[in-house]
Amino acid sequence: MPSPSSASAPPDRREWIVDALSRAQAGQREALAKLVMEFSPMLWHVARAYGLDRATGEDVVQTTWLQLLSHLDSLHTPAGLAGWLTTTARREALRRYRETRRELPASDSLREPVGPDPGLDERLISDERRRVLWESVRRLPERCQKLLRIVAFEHRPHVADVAAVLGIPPGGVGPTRGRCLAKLRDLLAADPRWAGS
Amino acid sequence: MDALLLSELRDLYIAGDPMPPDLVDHVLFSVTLADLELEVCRLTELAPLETAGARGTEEQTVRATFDSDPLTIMVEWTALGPTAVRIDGWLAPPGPHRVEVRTTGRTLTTTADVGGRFALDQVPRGLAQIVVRSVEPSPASVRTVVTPSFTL
Repeated sequence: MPSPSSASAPPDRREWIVDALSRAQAGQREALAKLVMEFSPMLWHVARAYGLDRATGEDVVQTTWLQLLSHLDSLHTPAGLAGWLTTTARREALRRYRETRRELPASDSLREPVGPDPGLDERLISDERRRVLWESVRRLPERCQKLLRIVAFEHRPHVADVAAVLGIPPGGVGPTRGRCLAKLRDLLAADPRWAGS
Repeated sequence: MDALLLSELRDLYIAGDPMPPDLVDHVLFSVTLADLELEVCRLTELAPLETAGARGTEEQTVRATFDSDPLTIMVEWTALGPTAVRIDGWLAPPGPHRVEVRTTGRTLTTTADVGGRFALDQVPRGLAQIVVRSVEPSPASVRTVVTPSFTL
């Protein structure tokens, strides 16, 4: 799965994306479908990292691709495409995230029930090392969990947007990232199951 | 090392929170339009309503609202049996625009009245997408407004 910040793709991958882009621009649906398959997981994780529930995350992924149609002609490189997609999804995610904070929960909504969304389904984690990691992550303050999920997917995240999601000043993002990573390391170091693996 | 730990974190979320398996299909269904000049709506409300049916039985009606800068589309749909629904809709601001409801089988079309109201009968259940085309396109107004796909 491509990372949003991978600036250089291996030659084969770069070639097929450039090719698919130009064929999608020429109206070939198969080419667009390949791009959708390739980049949708990345967009899903951006949306979820920014705190959206699953239904809203799906909506953001859909609307991002729909918006791409009007901008497709201006994109010619994998980095350009990934960058445009990620920026659009992130902006939309941030917008929805803010709206959710302002709204009162709608008890009759067909959306997922309002309640803590751990962001991950433990039943899907069979790898022991990952289970141990998850247990430590869950013990972090919520702000750290949010921040670390974002930086796990965006090595150089958009500072202003991250700050908005965390509710801290932009200058605090870097230091908070450092503190949260340190906290996580401490928790892992204290877990005998982690050191051995 | 930070990078290593973060990459393990990334793998954790990829394994534990995978993208829904049908999302790609939903996206592909939504992007089949040939018109590239699209105004994209966002789903802002999705909720069941309770209404009494003609014979006093309760029919499940669902309301969805899709929002964009130029246009808001509100629809309510009610089951007409297991395979079809009836859709009642409203456009705001109102206008006699052409309304299409794309489903996997076919596309149903109608025209809203001057009050922005429209209705469609026997719409197949399943994946759907609403496309509104403005009757009088002009340089200042958007020609096509589209919703993401949703399930009737």
